[in-house]
Amino acid sequence: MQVRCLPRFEYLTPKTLEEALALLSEHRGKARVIAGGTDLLPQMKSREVVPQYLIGLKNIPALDYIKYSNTDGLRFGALTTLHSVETSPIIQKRFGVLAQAAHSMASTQIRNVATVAGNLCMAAPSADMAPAFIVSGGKLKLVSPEGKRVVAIDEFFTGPGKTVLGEVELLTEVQVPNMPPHSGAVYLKYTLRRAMDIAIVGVAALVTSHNGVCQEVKIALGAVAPMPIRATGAEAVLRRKVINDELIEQAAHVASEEARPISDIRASAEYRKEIVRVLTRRVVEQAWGKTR
Amino acid sequence: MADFSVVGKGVPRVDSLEKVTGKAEFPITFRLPHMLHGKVVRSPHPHARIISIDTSKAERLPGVKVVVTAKNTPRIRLGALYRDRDAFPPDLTVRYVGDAVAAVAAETEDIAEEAAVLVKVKYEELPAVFDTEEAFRTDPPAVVHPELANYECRFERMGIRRRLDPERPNVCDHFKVRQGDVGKGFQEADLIVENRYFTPRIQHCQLEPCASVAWFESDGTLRLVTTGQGAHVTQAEIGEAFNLPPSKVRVECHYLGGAFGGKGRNITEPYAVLLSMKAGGRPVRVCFTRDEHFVCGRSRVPVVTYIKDGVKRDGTIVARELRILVDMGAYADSAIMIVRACAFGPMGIYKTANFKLDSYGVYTNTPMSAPFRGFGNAETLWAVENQMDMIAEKLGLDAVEVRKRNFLKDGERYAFGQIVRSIGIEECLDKAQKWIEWDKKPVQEGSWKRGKGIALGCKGTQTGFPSSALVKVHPDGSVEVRHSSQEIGMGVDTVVAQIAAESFGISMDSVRVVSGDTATCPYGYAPVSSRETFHMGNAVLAACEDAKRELFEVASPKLGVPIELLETRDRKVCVKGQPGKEVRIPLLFRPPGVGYALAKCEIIGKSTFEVPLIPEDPETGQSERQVSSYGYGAQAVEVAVDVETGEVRVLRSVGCFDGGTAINPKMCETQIEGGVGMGIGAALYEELLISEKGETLNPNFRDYKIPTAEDMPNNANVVAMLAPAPHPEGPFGAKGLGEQVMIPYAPAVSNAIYNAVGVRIKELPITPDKILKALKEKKKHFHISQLGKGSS
Amino acid sequence: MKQLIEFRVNGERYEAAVEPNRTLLEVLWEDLGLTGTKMGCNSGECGACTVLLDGMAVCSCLTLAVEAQGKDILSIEGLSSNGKLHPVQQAFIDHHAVQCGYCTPGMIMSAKALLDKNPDPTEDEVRSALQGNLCRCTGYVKIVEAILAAKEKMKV
Repeated sequence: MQVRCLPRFEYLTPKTLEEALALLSEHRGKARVIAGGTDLLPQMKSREVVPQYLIGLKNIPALDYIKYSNTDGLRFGALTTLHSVETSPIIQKRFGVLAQAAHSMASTQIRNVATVAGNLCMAAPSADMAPAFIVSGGKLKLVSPEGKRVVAIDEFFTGPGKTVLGEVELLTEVQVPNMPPHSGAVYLKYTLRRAMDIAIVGVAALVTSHNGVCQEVKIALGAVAPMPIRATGAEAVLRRKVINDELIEQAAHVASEEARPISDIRASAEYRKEIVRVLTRRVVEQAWGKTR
Repeated sequence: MADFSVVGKGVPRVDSLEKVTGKAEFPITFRLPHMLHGKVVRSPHPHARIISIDTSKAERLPGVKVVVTAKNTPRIRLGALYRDRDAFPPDLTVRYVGDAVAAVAAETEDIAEEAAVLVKVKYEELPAVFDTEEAFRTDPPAVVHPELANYECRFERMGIRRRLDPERPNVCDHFKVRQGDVGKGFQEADLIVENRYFTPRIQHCQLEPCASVAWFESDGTLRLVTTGQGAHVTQAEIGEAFNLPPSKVRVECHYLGGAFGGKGRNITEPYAVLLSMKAGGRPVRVCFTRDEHFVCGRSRVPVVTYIKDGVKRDGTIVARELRILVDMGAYADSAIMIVRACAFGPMGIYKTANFKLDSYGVYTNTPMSAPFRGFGNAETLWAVENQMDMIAEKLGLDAVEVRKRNFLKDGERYAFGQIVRSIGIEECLDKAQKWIEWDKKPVQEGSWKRGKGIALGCKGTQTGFPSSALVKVHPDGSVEVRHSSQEIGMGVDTVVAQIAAESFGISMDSVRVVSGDTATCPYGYAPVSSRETFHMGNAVLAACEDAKRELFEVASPKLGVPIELLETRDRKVCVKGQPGKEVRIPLLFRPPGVGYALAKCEIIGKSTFEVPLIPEDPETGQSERQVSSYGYGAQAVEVAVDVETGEVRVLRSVGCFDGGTAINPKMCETQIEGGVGMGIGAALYEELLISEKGETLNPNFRDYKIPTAEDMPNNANVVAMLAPAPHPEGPFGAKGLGEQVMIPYAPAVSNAIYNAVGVRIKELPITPDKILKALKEKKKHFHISQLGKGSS
Repeated sequence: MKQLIEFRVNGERYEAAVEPNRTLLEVLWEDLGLTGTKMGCNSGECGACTVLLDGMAVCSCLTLAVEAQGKDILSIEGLSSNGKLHPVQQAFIDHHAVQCGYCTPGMIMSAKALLDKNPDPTEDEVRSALQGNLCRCTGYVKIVEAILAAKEKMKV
């Protein structure tokens, strides 16, 4: 019926980024890049995507790294797997929300090969890494034969499955600035089962405190709009205010109004809105608790 | 069980070694040289007439060897009781999204898939009906089988007449039970509790999808390696469908990667055989993809249960009335047996002075249903066990007490007339409620509200089906048992080995078990209905006695002692009460240890065990013997409900079950634990969703959620207990266990949720969405009633 | 167009000419005759096809055979050595962790991958490692018990 053998394709193995871009250009419109393949291959099996060429990125060692510096923060290459993010000591210590988001995804087997870059480029509205990166101020380095550009992750997604990535352009690096001092960041994902599930709702928040006042706050929602969104209204409720339970509840309520979920086989829109409210409250509470 | 050396012990399974090393063979990985790959072409419409089928493009694709449709193949008639189904619809009407229209065979799987897509079918859509109750009406939106009254009915050969309803065109069966006078009972009642319950379509999700490889030998013998649950049943039915006697059909099906009742009855076999036939006998493999398996690999019947209970103030049930609609899907096949079978759950546990039950089989334009662990009883007991709690609450009585007051006892009669023999339900309930500390209220924690719940279950094993065993004593003194069942995972091979080892007084590794091949194993019915320990166990015991008798006839003259004084032990024939007077079994053969049995050629024992079905009275359902034995059990759970999200977590779970004597207590434990897994899924997560166009929306593991290891409570909080009530006719007193282990789970969870947060969801699964909605409703009503109080 | 790949499976070197669209699972079954690894869903959602690729648990149904080039693959058949079972395999037998046996190879491979990286996991960590391995028969109870028992044996 739906899930079939993989369709036929040519498999190309560039050794450098330049080679990869050249191949992407040569086979423009007929090629897809593949890293982990855990999203792409199932899509090919169900014939949603039928590329004639697959450009394998795994043999480009230049894309496989995790770097950290006090000044530049975290930078990791496109081949970094979810497993690497989940288990990297530096990410666990300084960017815990990213490790948290990575750990919540799929299964051990999938996380072992799936890449963060791939997850972001697939741009599913429920992508777990996106809200975590949004609140962390993530930026993406995109490279094309014309040159490179750095795009804030807030601006990367344009719709379900759609990004600003050009036809001959690759996401090569994810950049995350250091978290400001006295910050706490949390990602919570609501699913029906404890494991393996796509988020019904995902909420990430980063709050920074200064003398008991919420100096800065970012709240991102996943799975409740065509793409991951910032809950700017909810943020406004909290920004530069003294935080208390009532205020958090109010912000959560605003967040649920900002969400534009659909009803699908996983949950109804109404239910999702309710969960946005509950999760936002919990995420902000927990993030705030981490600022102490 | 102190007297036995192997029976009653948790010995390791005989199949574990093969399975942990990956050596165990399953039908799905069976390969032959020059094998072709088959794919079935399926209807995208729920109800439509086929106008034309154009196979020309498919035929021309390089690598395609065969394309079959109803046009170029003989009629292949299928259907376990009604012949309501052919391999391809002979009346050119498709009846569900997924119905088979054509099939192709090609050199490789991907060419076969491509060819299937190239088969172009033109349809004229017809109105369809998806809802069971809509289909049940006297004027349904669509009639699935207009010619139903004219279909051949295999019932009639067994002397049972068909039970259609002239007023309701989609009803294919109607089972009735009448005992006493419910009208009078309701008048005497102090309280009436009446509700509607629903269990949705769920899927077995065996990890191995359906697969068959078919080929013909030069003499025309059909060979099948297949996941069909019931090798001899497949042999007989495929043989009949293809006009071949059983002697010309060999079916092999030893290990199955899970069955749970769903792999019987000609799912992939007809297409593999048809394609092979058309390919000149060349082997053809038809294997379902996972999504195909979700839709076409059969699913559990959706069931609507209307139940009305009349009870006295002290909790005794004076009248119970049920109306049950069992959704067959587009073709009834073996699901039709559920119409009758589902009634035995409600009748199995409680005494009811007056009882009335009407159960109907209803066609809809949805995927085909099949038996699913419990055979309709999980569905109907879902209703009953929720009712019992509601009754208790309304009367201000304890839920455990109310149940106990209504228990049947040995010697009494079930509502269908049979005498109760071996009912361990009370001990099960006592042990379960003790472990969960029923009388202690759970501790509350933040937004998580906790509650405890209990529910009971039972499963009657059907009569009228045989199991057989052949037992051979080898010249080296080891014993080989060939039995008629298959190892679907429940452990029948091990139980058989244990019984044979016990009977002969030898170790487990002196016993070899062979099963799953119609060429070498004797005839028996499929491993269903939790029947094998009882039936196969008895057959093996009797076959062992038969073999020993043969052996003793050879040994008796050698030892100079009559046969009655002989027994076997440690590969020797011994004289009872005279230690030292014995002969080693190899010495009873010539040459010793390798040859023929003196005067006997071979030492072979054989036996078939069956409990004859006594057909019920068609008007009242009464019969002296419908069930060989009933297994029982109680499930107690403690759950936590997050009142903000509706999420439910099972914190602690204890199941105490009565399967009669436990031949292998460890294996019984693992069955109970498996029942917890399936039970949690059925209670909280599982539902196959059908769109308004009849399409299955979630035919994959991503969106059809079965529990993962993280969805189960930790091991310390999952307890499996046994409370055996030996059955006088069971081997060593054993009964059956495999199905009742999941039956009480969903109602136990439902009762626990009610006790935690005061809402009762009557339609499974109990999703967070439904709980949150119910909590909101409850709050609203509370406010309204508070306002009402204020104003008066 | 077929590509020649060279890889090690269960310690032995293999060469195979494979089309790029073939998965590692297909090649294990059809080219190498190693059918111990199972197919459950062909979509990476059930874990029945789990093998170790350079020591990492992966779904072989979502691994392109061409990407196994130069890699070390361990399947269930390679787990026992010289007829001696791996402690996890033995524990599965001893603790009745096997019923139909179809999920068993994938479970055992995931368990081995876990214990190789983390020799002393908690029960929660074991369950987390098995997230991607579905079982319909056992409720996972004896499987988790077996893995925890195996880790104790392996510590000694």
